[in-house]
Parts: sequence; structure tokens; C-alpha cells
Amino acid sequence: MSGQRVTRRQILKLAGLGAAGGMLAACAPAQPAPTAPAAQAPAAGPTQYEQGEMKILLCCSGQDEIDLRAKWNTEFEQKYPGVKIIQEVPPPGTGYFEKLQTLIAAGTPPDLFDMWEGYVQPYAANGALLDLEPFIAGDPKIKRDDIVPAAITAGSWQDKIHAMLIGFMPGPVSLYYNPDHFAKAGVDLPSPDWKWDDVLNAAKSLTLDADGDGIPEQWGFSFGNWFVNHLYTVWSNGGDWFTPDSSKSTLTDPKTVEALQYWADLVTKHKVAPGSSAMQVLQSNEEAFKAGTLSMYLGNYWNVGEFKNISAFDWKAVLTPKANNGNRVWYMHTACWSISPPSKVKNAAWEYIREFVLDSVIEPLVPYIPSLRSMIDRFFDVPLHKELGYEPLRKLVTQPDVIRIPGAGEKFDKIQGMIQAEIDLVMNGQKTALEAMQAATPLVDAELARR
Amino acid sequence: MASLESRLGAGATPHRRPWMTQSRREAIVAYIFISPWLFGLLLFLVGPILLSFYFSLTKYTLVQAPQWLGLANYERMLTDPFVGIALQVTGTYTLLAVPLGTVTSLLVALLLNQKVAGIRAFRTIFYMPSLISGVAVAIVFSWLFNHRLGIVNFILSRVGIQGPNWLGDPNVVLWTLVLMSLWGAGSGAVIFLAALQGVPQSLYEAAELDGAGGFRKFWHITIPLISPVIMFSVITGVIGTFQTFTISYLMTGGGPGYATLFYLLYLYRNAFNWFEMGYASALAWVLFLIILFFTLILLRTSSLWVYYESAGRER
Repeated sequence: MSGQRVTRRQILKLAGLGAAGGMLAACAPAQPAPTAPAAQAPAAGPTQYEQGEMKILLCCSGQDEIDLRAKWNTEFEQKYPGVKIIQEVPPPGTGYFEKLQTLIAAGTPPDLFDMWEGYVQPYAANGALLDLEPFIAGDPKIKRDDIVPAAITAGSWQDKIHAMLIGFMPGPVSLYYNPDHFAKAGVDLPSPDWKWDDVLNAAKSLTLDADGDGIPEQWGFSFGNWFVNHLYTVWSNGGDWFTPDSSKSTLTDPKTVEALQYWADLVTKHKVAPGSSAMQVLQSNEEAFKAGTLSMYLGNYWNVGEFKNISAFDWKAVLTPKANNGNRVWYMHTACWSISPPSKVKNAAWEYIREFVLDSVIEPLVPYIPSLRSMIDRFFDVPLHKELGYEPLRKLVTQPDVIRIPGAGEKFDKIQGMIQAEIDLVMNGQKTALEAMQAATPLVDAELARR
Repeated sequence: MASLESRLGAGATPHRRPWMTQSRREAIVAYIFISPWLFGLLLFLVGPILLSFYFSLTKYTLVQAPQWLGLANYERMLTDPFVGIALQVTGTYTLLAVPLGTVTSLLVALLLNQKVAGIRAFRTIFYMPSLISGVAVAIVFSWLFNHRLGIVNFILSRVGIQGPNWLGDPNVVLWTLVLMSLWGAGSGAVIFLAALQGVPQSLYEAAELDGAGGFRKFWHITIPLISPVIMFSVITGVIGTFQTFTISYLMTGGGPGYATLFYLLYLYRNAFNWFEMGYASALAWVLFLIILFFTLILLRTSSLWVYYESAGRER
């Protein structure tokens, strides 16, 4: 993968100012115009589908991925005569969801678009996603029983699939490391059975501040200060964020607090991981790792693409470390498709989704565990995936309890912002984890209680 | 009509003014010329403003049709803790940034009003920062104020001071943004400079004859005569600071904690991140009323602290 993949966090942080667009959208009819009866395809087609333009909106794809998709789109058009695909990718730095919301509000939603795990519920609850169950029920190639249970959960709202998963991956999935640093420091290489304390001990030996100015030239370890990592740490430590019915928060649960404090201590107490100020200088974890100023990085599957180009050292990766209690529970990243309810080419869109999923179109660039059980082996047989130590991830298919999406449903995006605001203070050393979670609890509970 | 006929005389035909008079013709032509602008005003400004008021009375998620709620969004604001936080942050910033910005602009203008060599170049230099985009300024300042490797803390360390975590400490960050806001003082200084140059020299000469020193001349002549411009600066400053968005959106994201959760940032998040366009519209209308309230206070009290030359003559 030569093009840099834009991460979700970057997209969220750099989201463009959409107020003007929103104003314009506000002027437009809120409800899409009624759809005209679609022209039916000739009987020669694979199934009945509508002819016409099919608008696809993608989020945050690198140029190589866009090219790969465009090539596949051409093949699809040839296979489905009469369908004309118009693929749009907002430029980097543009807020994908601001763009999508504005298009929907303007009554001109794309027929087919990228969805994310945390957004399926709010969009479905607001009527912006088509119920895909009838399409799955009538599909000759995809059977509901074949879909991995965790994938059904992640793509569903009110027990009905509203987003069809292309695939999913645990987050953060890998501990990437620089073997040269380990060799120089005489530290044992990481193993898939490492626990958090093993990471801490190694990081202490790997963090180097030769000139003693308090700013290490080499950081032993780093992780992203965002909710994906915090979910992994808290869940792995046996804590949680909400009660099972999502009616109240459990932020002050001792295990939740302990996990957050442990990871904050890596920055503020042990000083083996860079805080926000140091990170600004390093630009990003990924850049620091590529530049050889970071020994270990707890990263995600998409990092593989950009790390492939590192020539200065032969990087390696093992699975995410376990909590000190021996448990490891991941957040579930997904890649999925949704269809707009007012689309005039719903059947063609579903055909597209099915073929896209079955062809594993983006697998060469972005590794996802397929959402269909029948395709699982294909993922684990890839030599690179073996090398990355993904084999134990097979259990995610049969043990969905070790990969989760958070509760709070359509309110999660707002609530995670409330919690993150307090966690930022913990990571800066301004508050203890307990103080921060005590401050966040009434705000989160009030939001959960609000109808 | 009878009286008119009697005045005109029997048999005389009354002279009727043509409907299309010269002035009417001119007015119609004028309206035709400005019609594109009027159309744009109605479509892109008045229309959305009225729509936003309607949305403020509804539950509007942007992706579904609005559902009527009445005043529920406004009632919700009374119990929403983040509204209080956002108002406190924005109000504090306004209280700090507007007076400091006004004084700084005035001081710069006084310096630029001196008759020294190269003054035109200085005026250009001081004005130039206000031409730079807010996004670029925010990014540059986030580097300058970097806690570990920023140039501000580097300079402070050279004189033995350990600089604070300018953008990471919730007790410091708002002051940092206030300091940053002074970067654009040049644009205000240009307006003050024009006002300073409008003060008649004869008044200074008369004061000098009466033995007034520099400070007395400034306090009793300059300040009163430029007070209308000070009022203008304060009012536009209050309006501008209540709408602060870019710096918090780009530099701090509202944090650390909620230390820079400006009102407009909270409004934006409701509208575009959380499917709460109806509530965001209510927030926008309340912001409008707050700004209107403070603007009216400043205008109504202006007779107490602004010197109007014409009013003085009338007295």
C-alpha cells in the first residue's frame, strides 16, 4: 500500500467547517422526493436490478484504494449493463459524516455509502439506512447464517441488519515493534502472550534520554489517546462503561478506573510514552515509528499498509498485549456498506454490496476478517497475516465476547466525547482517573437518561 | 371633485399625473439592478434565518423531517450543563479578550501615529497579521505554544522561567487563546489610527498653551474624541468573541476538559456531530439574543462614556 491511509481520527480531527453547507442544506427539502419506478434490467442480468446511475460515497480511502475500487467498479458495470457508477471520495481533511449528513438533508443522498460501527445505530435510528434483511433473505449467495455473529451485531439496529459488513478487525490489533531497538537495549522481543507489565518493563529500558533534558530521543512505547484504545484497556481489565441496558454509566467501577490510570501512568508517571505535547512534535505515532524514534506502538490493522514502506529497519508485530489479569477484549472496527432508503437503485446497490463482499475487493490493501464464515480461511491463509500473528483471531468467529462494540447506541458518539474530555485531563496528569470519571459520571448519566 | 372643477373652471379637463413618473421609473430601474442581490439576500440569508427559527422549535436531525416540539429545545438549554460551561468559557474569553484587544489596538495605533522615518512600512507590518487566515494562525500558534518544544517556552527557559503547558493546562489555556487573539490587533489599530488623525491639532495646541502635559492631552482630548471609535471596537469585539470557533475547533477541540468549549463549538457539535440541528438552532437564536442584549447595553450606555461632538454642540 503506497498511498497513506487517512485514519478515522485524522478525519474527525480535521473535519472541515461545514456550516455553510449545512445552511444550504437547511434550505433544501428535508424529505427526499418520492422515487420514480425504476427501469428494470433485462432478464439476462444476474438478478433483477434497476438501471441508471448509482452514486457511491466513500470515506477516507487512499489513492491506491480509490484506484482499485474504480477498476472493480468498471468490471461491475460490465457485468451489470445499464448501471453507471459515480464514485465520490471527499478530499482529505473533509468531514465525511458532515458531507453525508448534508447530502441526506439536501434530499440527494448517495445510493450506497461507507458506514462505521459507531454510526450504524444513530443513522438507522434517524431513518437514513435501509433495512437490508429482505435483501439478505432473498439473496442466492449470501445466507444470514453464514454471517459472523459479531458482524451481525455491529451492523444491526433493533435486531435488523442495516449495514452489511465487508469485514471487521479488532482494535488495536497489533503491538508493532522495532527489533533493532530491542537488540541494542538487550531486551527480549515481545510475544503474543505479553501483558501490560511486560510492555511497561520493556518500555523503561527502551526509552532513551541521552542528553537528560527530559525529552527522550527514543520513546519506548506509544498508543493513541482515543476511545478505541480506552475501550480495549477497560474491557480487557474487566471494567465497562455502561450497565448492560445502557441506562447508566459504570465509569467509577474500580476496574475501569484502574485501567485508565495504568495507561495514563505510562505517560505521566513512568514517562515511557509521549503525551500530547510531545506527540505534536513527533507528528503522530505512525510517523514516530517510521522515523525510528519509537520502539513499540500499539496500532491498528491499517498501519500495516504504511509500515510496509519502511526500509530503515525490519519491523515486526505481535498481537495486542493482554491486561495484567490475562484477558484481552478488543474493540470491533468494521468496514461496511449501507443503502439510502430513497435510492432508486436499491437492488443494483445490493448486488454491488454482495459482489463487493464476495470478491474481497479491498483485501489486498486493507486486511479485514471477512464477515462471512465461509470466507474466513481465505484471510488467515494470507502469508502476511500469518506473519503478523493473526491466527489466534480465528476465535473471534466463535467467541464473539472478546470483540465488542460499546453500548449507549446512537448516543455513544456524544458520550464518548464527554468521557474523552475527562480522560484527556488524566493523560495530562491534571486529574486522577477516579477524579475524572467521577466528574464525567453525572454528565454521562444525564445524557443517557435524556429521551 | 366638485371643488376641483370649480377651481379649474367649468369645462376644464383635470390634468392627471402620469403613473410612471420619473422618480417611479428610477426606483423601478434601481430595484431591477439590485434584484440579484435582493434575491440572494432572501434566498440565502433571510430564508435560512427564518428556517433556523422554525427548526429551533422542532426535533430536527438533518436526516429526517422536523418534528414539532414547541419550546422544548429552549427549556432543555436551562438544564443542559454544557450550555452553562460554554457560556462561562465564552463570556470569560470575551471579558478578557475585548478590553485587552481594544487597549492593544489603541496602543499600536498611538505608536503608528508617530512621525518617524519608515512609519508607512511599520503600519503595513502591523496590519499584515490580520490578513492571514485564522486556520493558519491557529496551526502556527499551536506550535509556538507547544509545551515541550515551542519557541515561547524555549525563550522563557533562557531567562530561567519554566513555561506553563499553554494548551494542555485547563487553568492556562484560555489565557493562551486571549494572548493569541492580540495577534490581529493590527486591524483595529488601523481604525484607531484613522480616528487619531481626525483629532484637530488645534485642540492639542490650545491644551499645550494651557500647560497640559502628554497624559492630560491624551486623557482629556484624544480619548473623548476617539470614544465613538472605541465604542465601535468594543461592540464588534463583543460580537466577534461570542462567535469564537476556529481556534478552539482546530487548536484544542474544546479541551483540555471543557476549558475551551466555546459556545459556537458546542453548537456546531450538536448540529453536525450529534444529529441535533433543532437544538443547535435554538442555541443559535439564544446566542443571537445574548449578543443583541450586550450590544444594546453598550449602545444605550454610550451617552455615559462616549463623546459625541455634535451632541456637545447641541448642548
